[in-house]
Amino acid sequence: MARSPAGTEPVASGKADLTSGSRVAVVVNARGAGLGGGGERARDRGRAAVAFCAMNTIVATVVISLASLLALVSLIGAFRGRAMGMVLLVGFGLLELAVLVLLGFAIVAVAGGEGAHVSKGTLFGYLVGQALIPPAGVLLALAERSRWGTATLVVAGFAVAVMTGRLLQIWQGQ
Amino acid sequence: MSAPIGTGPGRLLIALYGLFAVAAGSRAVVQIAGRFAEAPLAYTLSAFAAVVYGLLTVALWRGMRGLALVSLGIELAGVLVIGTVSLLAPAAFPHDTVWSVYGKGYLFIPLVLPLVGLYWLLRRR
Repeated sequence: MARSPAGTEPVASGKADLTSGSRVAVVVNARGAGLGGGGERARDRGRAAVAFCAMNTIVATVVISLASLLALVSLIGAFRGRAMGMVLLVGFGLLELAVLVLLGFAIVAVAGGEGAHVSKGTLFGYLVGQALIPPAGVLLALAERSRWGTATLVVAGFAVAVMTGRLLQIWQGQ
Repeated sequence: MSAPIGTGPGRLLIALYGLFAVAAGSRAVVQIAGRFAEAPLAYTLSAFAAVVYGLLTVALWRGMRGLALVSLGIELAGVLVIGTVSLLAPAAFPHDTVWSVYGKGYLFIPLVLPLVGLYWLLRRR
């Protein structure tokens, strides 16, 4: 099957060692559901759809890893009394990009007939909601040039990670 | 009394309350629009909590100390009363609200946040 090539995982795992435990669990989880739940429909539409579903999970995994890493870096910065620096600013820009890519994948998936079991309002509520969080967090951090601005980024990163995790669960019908 | 309440640590409170307002609000919208009859009390409470969180976000942002204090009081009373009721009479809340079991589903943040907020508002006179 053409889903989730094993070669992509080591690349991602170098990124955030601290979160690798939970991330691997998510990937394994998603695989199980993809094989079981998506099986019947996927057979009808061929291998492309299956590969696509795996892509979706990979992007979600990247979002969760990046958001957790950014929350951790922000937490350290807040404890050290630093205002938001360039690293966090660029980091949250990348996170926003990843979230938007995930939103794009979800739109294509739904348009292609996947996720019939998922409430569309909930799905896009989560996706649009978490697309708003990184800019909101950065704006607050720009307005508050102190450790408390960096602390809002901890909330933003953590919220995106949790919401994407919940999104994966919803997609898998849990 | 004139110390700003929406800067410094207050900015973190704004972020948290803003997030909770959106989270509880969208949850309430989905629940009420989709399956209100299943648990009308729980879903109405979700909506009420969302309104309180929204008021607090605005009050902190605009520096409205009185409104912030009243909202914090309502929030603290809400999480304590609903938390206790949901423990003693779980049948009344077949579906979770933000305040069920003192906010257990939300890492107890709904219980801790009003205490932190009250401390932040009353810390100096």
